[in-house]
Amino acid sequence: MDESPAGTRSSEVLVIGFGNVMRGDDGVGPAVAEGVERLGLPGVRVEVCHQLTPEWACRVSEAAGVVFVDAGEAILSADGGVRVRELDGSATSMGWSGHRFTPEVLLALVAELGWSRPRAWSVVVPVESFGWGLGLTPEAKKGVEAAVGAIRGLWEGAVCTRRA
Amino acid sequence: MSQRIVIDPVTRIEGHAKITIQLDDDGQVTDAQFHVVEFRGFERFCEGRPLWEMPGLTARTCGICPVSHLLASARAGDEILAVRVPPAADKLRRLMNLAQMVQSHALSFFHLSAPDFLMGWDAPVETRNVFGLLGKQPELVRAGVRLRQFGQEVIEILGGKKVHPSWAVPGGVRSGLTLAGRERIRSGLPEAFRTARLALRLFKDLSGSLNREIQIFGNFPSLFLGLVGPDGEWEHHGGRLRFMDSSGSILVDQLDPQNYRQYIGEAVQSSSYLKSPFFIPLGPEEGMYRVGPLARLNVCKSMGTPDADIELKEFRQHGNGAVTSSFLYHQARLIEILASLERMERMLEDPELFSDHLRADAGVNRLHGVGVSEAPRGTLFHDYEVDRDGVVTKVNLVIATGQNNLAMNRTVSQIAKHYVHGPKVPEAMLNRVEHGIRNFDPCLSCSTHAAGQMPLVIRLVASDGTVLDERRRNG
Repeated sequence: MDESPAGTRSSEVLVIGFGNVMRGDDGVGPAVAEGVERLGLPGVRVEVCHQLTPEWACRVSEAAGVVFVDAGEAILSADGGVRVRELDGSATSMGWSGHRFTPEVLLALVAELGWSRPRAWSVVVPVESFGWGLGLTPEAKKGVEAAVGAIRGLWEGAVCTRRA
Repeated sequence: MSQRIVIDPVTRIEGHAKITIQLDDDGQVTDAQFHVVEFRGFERFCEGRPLWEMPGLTARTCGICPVSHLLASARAGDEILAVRVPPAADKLRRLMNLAQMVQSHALSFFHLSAPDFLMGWDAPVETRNVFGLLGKQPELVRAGVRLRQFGQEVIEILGGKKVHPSWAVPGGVRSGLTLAGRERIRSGLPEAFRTARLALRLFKDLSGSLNREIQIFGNFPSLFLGLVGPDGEWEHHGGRLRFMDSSGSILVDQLDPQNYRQYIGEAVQSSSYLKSPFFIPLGPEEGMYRVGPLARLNVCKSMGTPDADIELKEFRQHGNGAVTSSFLYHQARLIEILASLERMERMLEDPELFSDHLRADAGVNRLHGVGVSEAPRGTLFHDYEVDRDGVVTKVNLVIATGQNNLAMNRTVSQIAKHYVHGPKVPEAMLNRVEHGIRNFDPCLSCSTHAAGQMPLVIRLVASDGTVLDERRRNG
């Protein structure tokens, strides 16, 4: 079987910004999603959530493409910049421990459910602070701008690909 | 020398906890305790905020059950404004709460609990999860994912977004239901009904082989608490409180939620951030009570819908008076999904849902208000005190998971007594103790409020504090 749960696939690109807005810079994913929403890009649907959960498999499989936006520890970023990478589908559910869904685990679930797996990208914004409280640090805000620009670039590439 | 076992952290629940099991000199279990080891202190940092922010603020307590907090908070606000909420707003809130029941119970049953009893209690931990279950029952997993999605979509249709909708407010709701929204909900109902019935049939077919679990996974007498309607029918939003004992005798009935403090006390333990509410007339030891699906099905006279009432009648054959096995929370959850869907279907025919009179406006008319709503996990109390400007001065949240705390301790103790005989933690016991906690579908994010993922530790400790054995599993 290779289909979405609704039996159809839309032409939309789904941007999912996830994170806890009450844990400081962990809210950077939702902030990027809001930035993308403001761009009003045709064919882009923006969603915000606290964390990825299994039912996201439905919407992910119905999309033409998916961009997951999350915060990541700055120390893991080689150049301190926003990390964009295509999720190649090599990840599986092996090693999943039962509680937290990452984009890779969610895509593995989509595939194992027998639904179609769209092209997908991960956009990770490096941040410093996951402490209690609302609001982003100045560094995270810069990351938001860069991530929004990167997603716009992905969208332009996707549009060009479609036209070609 | 007596000894203790600690399970730390507990997995596939919402939050972070550990379990300690105390052994006597002969290596036999004497007691067990479920500890919550993270602290968030939501009640304290709500102080100083305007009343009107409280629904949106307290909804942030949790990413899994924000709707429950939103609705209980709005009800507390209604009391402080001393308004009567417009009928359409009340109905829309109820519709959202039913959707919350569906999505939350679906997560608990299909994703968190079913892997244990469908994959086998002794199956490797790597396969006792939703992915393992996919290999064995793919249609069931697909249906479960879709059912939760349906509940979330209804919440999104009503509230504008499915997590943390700032939709319910003191006095009513911000927006109504559109005709298009109603049609979207309607279109999803047939599949949701099929899934609920499929899961109920599956669980009942399995229950013959689960007799041991039904008997030892938290089967003991206790009190039960839940909301009921005016005729004692199942209620989830509004309604009044009823306490029942395990013989089926009603101890307190039609209690106005504003007066809950007359009957509910809150004990604290030095080893846990989870409070231990109890029924005051019987004291902290004897006053243990359970809330949530099992309790709601025990205290109600009927579900109020045809198919769920048939299921309730069958369910009650498990008890003599009340149904006392915590393992049957699972079946109760499925019956509540069915009842919620039946009620939703009925409500969609109500033209009042489309009224544009959705909010009663008023200032602060009382300085104290209590909002109660049935969250999927049990009765949820939001108790606020405000000053004359509506600034919150005191908050007390009595959370379902906390109210089940004493019963969770008893459950762990009962399971451990069957599996622990000596200073080692057997793998078979680890899985089963975890599931004993999972029966209650605890949300530690709400009850403490903890953050993050949910690892598990069990520790076995002697009476002099010596750790004899420890098992650790990352979340």
